[in-house]
Amino acid sequence: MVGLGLSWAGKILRRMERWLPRRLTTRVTLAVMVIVVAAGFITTGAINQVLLQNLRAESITSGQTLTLALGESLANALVEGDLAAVQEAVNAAVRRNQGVVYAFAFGPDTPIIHTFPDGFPADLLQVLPADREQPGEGLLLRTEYGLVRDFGYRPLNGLPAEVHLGISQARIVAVQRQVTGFVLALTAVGCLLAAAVAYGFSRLATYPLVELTRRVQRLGRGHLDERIDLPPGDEVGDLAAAFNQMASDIQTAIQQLQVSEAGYRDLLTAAGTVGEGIALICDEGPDEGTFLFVNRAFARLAGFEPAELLGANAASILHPDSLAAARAAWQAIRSGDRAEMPGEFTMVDRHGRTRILETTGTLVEYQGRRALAWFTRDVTQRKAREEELRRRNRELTALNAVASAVGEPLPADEILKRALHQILSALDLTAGWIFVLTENGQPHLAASQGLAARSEAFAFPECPCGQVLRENKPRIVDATAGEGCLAQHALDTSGQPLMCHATVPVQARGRTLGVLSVAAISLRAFDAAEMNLLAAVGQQIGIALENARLWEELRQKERVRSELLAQVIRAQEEERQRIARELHDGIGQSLNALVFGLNAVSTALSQAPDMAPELLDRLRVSTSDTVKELQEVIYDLRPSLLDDLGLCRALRWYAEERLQKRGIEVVLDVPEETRRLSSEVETALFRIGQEAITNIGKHAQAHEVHIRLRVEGRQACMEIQDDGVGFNPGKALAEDNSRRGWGLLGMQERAALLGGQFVIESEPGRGTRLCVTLPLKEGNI
Amino acid sequence: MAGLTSTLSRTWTLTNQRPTRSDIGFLHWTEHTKHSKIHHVIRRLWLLLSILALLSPLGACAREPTTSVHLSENLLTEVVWPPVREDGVWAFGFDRRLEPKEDVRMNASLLNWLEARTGLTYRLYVTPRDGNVVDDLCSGRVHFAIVGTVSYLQAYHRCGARILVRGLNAEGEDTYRAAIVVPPASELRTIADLRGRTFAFGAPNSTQGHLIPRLMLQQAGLTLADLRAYTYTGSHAATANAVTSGRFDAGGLQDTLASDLAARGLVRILALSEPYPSSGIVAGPAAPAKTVAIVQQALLALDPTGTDAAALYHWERSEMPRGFVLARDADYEDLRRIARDVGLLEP
Repeated sequence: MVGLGLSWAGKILRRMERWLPRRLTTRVTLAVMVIVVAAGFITTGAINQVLLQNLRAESITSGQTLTLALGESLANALVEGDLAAVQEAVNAAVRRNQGVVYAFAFGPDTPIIHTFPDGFPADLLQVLPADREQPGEGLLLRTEYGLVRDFGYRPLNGLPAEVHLGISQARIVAVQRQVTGFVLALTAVGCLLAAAVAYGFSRLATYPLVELTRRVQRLGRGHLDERIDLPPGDEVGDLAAAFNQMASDIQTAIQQLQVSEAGYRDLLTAAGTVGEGIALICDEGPDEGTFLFVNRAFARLAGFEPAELLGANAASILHPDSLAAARAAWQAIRSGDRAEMPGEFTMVDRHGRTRILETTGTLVEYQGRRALAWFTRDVTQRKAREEELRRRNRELTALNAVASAVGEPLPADEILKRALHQILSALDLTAGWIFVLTENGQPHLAASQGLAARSEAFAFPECPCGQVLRENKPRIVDATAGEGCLAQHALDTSGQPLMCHATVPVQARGRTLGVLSVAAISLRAFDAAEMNLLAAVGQQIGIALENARLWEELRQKERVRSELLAQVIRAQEEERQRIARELHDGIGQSLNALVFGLNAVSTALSQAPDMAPELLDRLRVSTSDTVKELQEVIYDLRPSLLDDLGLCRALRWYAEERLQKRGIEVVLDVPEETRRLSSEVETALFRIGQEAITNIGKHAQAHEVHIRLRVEGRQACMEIQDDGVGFNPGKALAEDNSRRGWGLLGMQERAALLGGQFVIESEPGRGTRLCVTLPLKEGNI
Repeated sequence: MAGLTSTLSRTWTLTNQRPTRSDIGFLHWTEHTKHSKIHHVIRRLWLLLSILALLSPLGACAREPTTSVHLSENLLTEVVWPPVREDGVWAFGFDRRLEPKEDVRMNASLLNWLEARTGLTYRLYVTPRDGNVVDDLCSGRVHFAIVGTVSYLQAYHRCGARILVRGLNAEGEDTYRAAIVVPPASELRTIADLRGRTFAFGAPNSTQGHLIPRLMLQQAGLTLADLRAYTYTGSHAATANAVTSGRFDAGGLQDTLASDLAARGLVRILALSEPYPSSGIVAGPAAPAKTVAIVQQALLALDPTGTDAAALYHWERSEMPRGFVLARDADYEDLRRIARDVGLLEP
């Protein structure tokens, strides 16, 4: 409630402002008078309030006492119905008490006995019956004689008997008026005195203010060194000190402002000098969005003269794609959000060239209007470099990824799949494939990605891509150009036809192994860099394929070597078993017989000495056979001829021993004078020849065998040819657990161990020709 | 300002209660508008008027409601009777004992208590000084009466009134006695010594002041003819004055008053009677049996010295200061006989 009142009073005062006097002295005087008058009214009201309460309380107490006394004195008379006594009592009450206007009473069986000489006022019936037993505060009646307070009392509780007294309130009103007049008179006098005093004091008090005002006006006219010399300690002195301080601050601020303005001009000039484009764009009113100012660097960016841009809309030089971002940035600057600063927009200059601008901005005041200060820098070249760098990085990344993929010892299909995935990722494409030529020259779809259809959709190599295979040149194929490319019928995983693809050859060691294609669902210009990247990847894949092939070959050789080793071990075991068997069955039995013979000789010498010589003779023959048998075993293991007489004689001996005994003609072209070779070369050649001679003896059914040995220069060559039934070497090699196959592999392996070559030529019915060539190192001769 | 206060006064007169802010608003804006701006202005005006009324010299007066009355107009010259007020249904009469206003106040307080207790309405009937409560009871003017033993015996005799309850005295007894007192210096020692002496009785219908003393005289073999002179003073106080002043040789008094006077040396108790049933409340023939039963039950529950003390007016001055007990007509047989003998039941 208090706040509401103050607010309302404030509004009234503001509305009355124009009606109030302007002079401070007059206002102060008027205010003091208003205060004195208000104080007088408040005092009057307060005094009246207190006085009225006291007088009212006194009147009520008096009335209650009189009424109670009258009631008590009348009670018995009212019970008895003694009307005369009642009449006398009420008359006495009016007569003896000043201020009692009337009195009346009635009992349970009596009429109203009253003091009105001309009759009982009918209006008084409305105060009956009394609302309580005791007189209470009475009921205030407004009569033609003024205010009268009626007190009612029922002295006989339980019976309808009442006594009423009417007491005039005129005395209270009279006293009130008297006091009010007195206080108001005092207020009037005080008001006049207060006005006089207030006027004098206000004149005195405002004199320094008048002086202060004059100094302030001089300060406003530019006299910044204006100061006031008033003693401090009072409000005006403090105000003067504050004025002096303010004047000093203003003087300092203006000097700082001048310095700042100069610095600002230097800053704009310097910014323009280093190529910083600055433009001021109107941010309010009908010219919103138009250039208010551009420096030369900004105009040069746009390809205009500064004057040509003034008044133009800033949107006219922005690329349409940058308009929304520019508006958002502007709005952010307005709202104070600088999170997006600096931003990048694309500008279209006068000649239609696009430039990428790095910009930032802030709101400033310019020529009394709010403007956006737009700072720009041309980062087009930097962006191009960054883009080129990113592209190179992407290519390098792709190449690196492909290199990593192809560098792993993986199957060819897996390598191709990974490489394709990497190149598609690098080029941001989804579909691609790799055709690889098989050994018989037929194309095979070795890897694909992102294709909904398989190779059935391609017509490789009859399609244009086949030209890549033939010419070893990269090519970009537009599937819609009617060149017979069926790639567009291949769909990507999203079901869209492939409209365009680039194909490069996959090469290794100058040999084309296949083609690599990447496809797009839209017509796309594969630039030179991308084609170079593809070609590089093609090379990588080619190398990877070659590596994979070599790896497979190596793996195959490794498998053969392992199996050969197992065969050797097995052969050794068999040889040992054979030797043991021969020693046990042959030499062992002979030696046992020799022991028995010696025992017999011993017995004969003691019992029949004449038989001893015969027995000894038999023993000698048996021992000779045993020795011969032992020599054969030794020769089978390693002919001593090889160590003693050399390779030529050893071969000759073995061939004659194994073949000629079987009726096979052996034609040896082994020069006796052939020089001795190193032990490992001679052993290798002997063992190869031994295996070949054994095979001829076992399988060839040959009639004639030619064995030729040559040591020429730094190699030794041995050739063995028969006219037997011949066989299929490939088939023999492919047969598992084939004795002949293992023999061939063993010969081949022996030659390879010494860096030589082993060639066998045979066909069924055509005989067999075997040629071994071993290099001779310095130490082998 | 005067106009304003006058307006406010008229408002309060019409509503006969203190005004509220909405009353003021309704007075000034008789059209029921709900426009918020107008209500806003009204609230501000009310605030301003309140402040000014507080500061006004007449502000304080104006806050008390007044009733406009013309004292010199519409004068009624004939006999004016007060407005009729609805009164209770069941009328109670009573034997006068003290000042009329005291009798009225005391008995009226009992009726107020009965109203609150029973839910029935009662009115107190004051028998005129030249009247008789027995007549009022038997004529049906009153339905119940608070009476002494003699009045009961007369009413029973005349119209079969029923005794409902009888009072307990200050000692909690449901009987009272009478005393024959003589001056302290009297040479009389027994009742028989009263032969040839003067004697003061109270009221003729007084049990303790007449009936029991007559019975005491009779038991001592004396009749009125044996006395030299006798009189009916009308009250116990007058009898006491007659004896202490020496105008009569002896007098019949209620035992409690006699004991007080004897303690102060003003009289000497010559003889004290047997206890007899005390005063009570009777029902006349006009009272229905159901109402009688309700009143009887309520009276038996009265606790004048306890929970009901605040509701009663100086009940200790009554003849039943400790309440009531159930009364039977047979208890009054002795007193009825002497009453008949002394002619109180005639006709």
